[in-house]
Amino acid sequence: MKMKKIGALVLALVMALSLTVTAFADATISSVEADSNSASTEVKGKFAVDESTTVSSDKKYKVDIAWGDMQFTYTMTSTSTAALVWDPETHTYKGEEGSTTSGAWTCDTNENKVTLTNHSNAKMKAAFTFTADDKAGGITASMNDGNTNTANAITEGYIATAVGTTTENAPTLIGYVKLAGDLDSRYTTEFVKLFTLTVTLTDADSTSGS
Amino acid sequence: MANAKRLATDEKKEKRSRWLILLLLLLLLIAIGVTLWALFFRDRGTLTPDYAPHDEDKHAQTLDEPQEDKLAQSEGGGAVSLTYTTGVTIDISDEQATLYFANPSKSNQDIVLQLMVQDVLMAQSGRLSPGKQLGTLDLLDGMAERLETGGYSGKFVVLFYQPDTHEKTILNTEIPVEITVVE
Repeated sequence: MKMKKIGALVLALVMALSLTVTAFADATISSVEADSNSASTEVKGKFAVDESTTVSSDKKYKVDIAWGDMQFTYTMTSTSTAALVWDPETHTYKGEEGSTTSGAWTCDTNENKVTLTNHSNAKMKAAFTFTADDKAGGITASMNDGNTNTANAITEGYIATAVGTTTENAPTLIGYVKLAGDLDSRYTTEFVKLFTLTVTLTDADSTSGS
Repeated sequence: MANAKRLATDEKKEKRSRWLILLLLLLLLIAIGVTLWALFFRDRGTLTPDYAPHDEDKHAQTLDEPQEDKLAQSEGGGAVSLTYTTGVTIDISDEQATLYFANPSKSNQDIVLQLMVQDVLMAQSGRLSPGKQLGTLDLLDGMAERLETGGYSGKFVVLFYQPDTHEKTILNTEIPVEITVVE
């Protein structure tokens, strides 16, 4: 009788412990690597439109354009130790006789950047043209595919359709404006307008886009 | 003999006078032609406003759109969002263009929209501030008479203005459009 009681107690204890093990097993984090004996199946989703439903071919154009302040400074330096001297005849600073000068255009970080973002259901083409102001003189402006010295000048670019993308990850085209040439030294007190940039937007499907 | 000489001289003088009168008449006709052209046919050119018009365009309507955050822009720079279609209908009898162009509220710039046909300014909007759209534009005076029913290639010229200083920005946009003229 006593043995039966002990046996029942041991059995109850074993059963109780086995329940605890199961509970612990549920609480553990499953391994990232699949067990060699397990089989995994990916659950995938895809969007489709029922054949009886028509999708409008109408083009809806929505393009965001953002640009920096486009304020450039032309810094002239004399390549020799000679100072830059005032020329009262031309009202400009020049290098002293026998010296040579060089200049460089700079702007604040990304203030020469133009970003176009396409939210249209069409691939878009953007063409860039600069119209010089009177004060531009011999200065030229260009759009470039990068902001480094090795970047290439571009006159146009393409932006992929927004179909299949999220609003946050809409296709973009980024360009950087660069100036070349010498600025007249009379413009020292304030920034003067040199160019107007025109961005022409066309549906790339209706033009010969790449 | 002397009479004959006098007669010949008089004839010469008369001929010269006739030529002179003809020349003067010709000059008069040219002057009248130039005056008529200047008054009625001269293309007066595009006057693009350097500052944003004070008044919102009379056809501007509030855009029905979900609330979006303003686009990020650097100080002194700009950021705009353009929503449009490229089909434009001009009704000669109404002297109006029907189109769709919107400046969503996430834009940071005011807009002036110009409609050009073969580089001739047909219509120009008033101020279109963020959150406004246009469905109609009035043609400029006399422009309807220069059009015939049919198709034209044209373009939108979109001018941007800083909302605080009202100054025109250094960037503008052009969008080719297809124009159908009806009566």
